[in-house]
Amino acid sequence: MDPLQEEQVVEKCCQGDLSAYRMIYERYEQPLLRTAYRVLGRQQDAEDAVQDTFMKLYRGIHGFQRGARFSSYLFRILLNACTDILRKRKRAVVKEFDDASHSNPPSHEVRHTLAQAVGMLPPRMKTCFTLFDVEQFTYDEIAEILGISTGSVKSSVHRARQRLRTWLRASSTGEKS
Amino acid sequence: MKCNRFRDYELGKMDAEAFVHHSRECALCREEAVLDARLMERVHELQDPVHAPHLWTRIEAGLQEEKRSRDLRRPHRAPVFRNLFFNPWFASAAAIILVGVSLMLFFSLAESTPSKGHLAQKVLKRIESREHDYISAIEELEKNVRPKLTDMDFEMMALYRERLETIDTQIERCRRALELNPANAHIRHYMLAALQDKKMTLTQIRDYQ
Repeated sequence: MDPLQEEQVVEKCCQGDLSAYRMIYERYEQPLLRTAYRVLGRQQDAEDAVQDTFMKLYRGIHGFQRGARFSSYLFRILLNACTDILRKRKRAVVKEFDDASHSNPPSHEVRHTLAQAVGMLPPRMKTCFTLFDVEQFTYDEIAEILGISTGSVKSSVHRARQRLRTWLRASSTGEKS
Repeated sequence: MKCNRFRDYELGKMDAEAFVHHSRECALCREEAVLDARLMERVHELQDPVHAPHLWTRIEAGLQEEKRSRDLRRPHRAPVFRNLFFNPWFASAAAIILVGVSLMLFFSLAESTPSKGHLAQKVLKRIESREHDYISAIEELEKNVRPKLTDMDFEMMALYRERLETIDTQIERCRRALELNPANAHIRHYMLAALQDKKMTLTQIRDYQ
C-alpha cells in the first residue's frame, strides 16, 4: 500500500467504512502483532492490544491529522494499548520506557533464544530495539511514536544492542564450553 | 581496557570509514563489530509471523458493535442532507429562504386575521350593505323633511340646519377615513352613530308641529 493509497484508505476509515479497516489490518497485522508480542510477552495479550488499537482507531480516526505518518499514529495507539494492558496486569513494576540501569543483564543459562533475550530487556529498550531493528522504523519515526527525542531513541537502541551483544557473547562462550 | 569508538560509531558520532580504520588496530571494537553483525543476522528470528487466525473476526465484531452503538447515539440523517448541511452556500440559501417564507407567512396571516380594530371581509360587506340601506332610507326621509324646514320658525330652522350640517360633516369625515381604511371598526361605529343621529334629527323635524 503506497502513501497515496493509504491516504485514501484512511479517508474511507473516517467515513466509517469497515472494509477500509480490514485493509489497514491486512497491511499492519504482523508488525502490530509482533511489536505487541515483544512488548507484552504473551500472544493473547498481544491480540488484545491489537484489537484495542483498532477500537481506539475507529473512535479517534477523526483526530488523525492529514499529512502525518499514519504508521506512527497507529503504533502510538498500539503502544498506549500495551501500556494499558501492562498496567492492568500489575505484574512487574511498570516503569514505562525507563532506563532500568539496575536490571540484570540477560544470562544464557536461562534464555536460549534471541526472542527471550529481547523479552528480558527494560521496556523502553525493548520497544526501541523492536521498532528500529525488527520493524525497520527510523529513529525519527520512533521518536514520534514514543513522544521522546531522537537522541533518546538512538541511546536506547544502542544500549539494547549492547546488552544483546553481551548475551550473544556469553551464549557463544557457553556453547563452546 | 575499554574503548568507546564502537559506541560512537553506533550513535552516529563517528563515520563508517573512520571506524573501519580504527577497528584494524582495536581488537575490542573489532570483536564488538563482529558480535553486532551476528546479532543483526539473528534479528530475522524476531520477524517470524505471529499466527492469530481469528483476530480479524474479533476486531470486525467489535467494530460493528461500535458502529451500531454510534448510529444509535447519532440521530439518523440521509447522507445527501448531511453533506448539504455542511455546505456553507446551502446553509446560507436555506437561511434566506427560511426568513423569506417566515415573512410571507407572517404578513399573509396578519392580513387574514382580524384584529380588535379591523373587521373581517365578510362582516365588512354585510355592514357596508346595511349602511347603504340606512343611507337610502335617510335620503328618502330627507326628501320629505327638507321642505318642512322652510315652514319652521327661524330659530328652530337655524338650529336644525346647523345640527344637520354638523352631522353631515361628521358623516363626510367618516366616509373619507373609511375610503383609506374600510375595515376600521371604530370609524364604522362613528359612521353608524352619525347616521342614527341624522335619522333621529330628521324624524324630529318631520314630527315638529
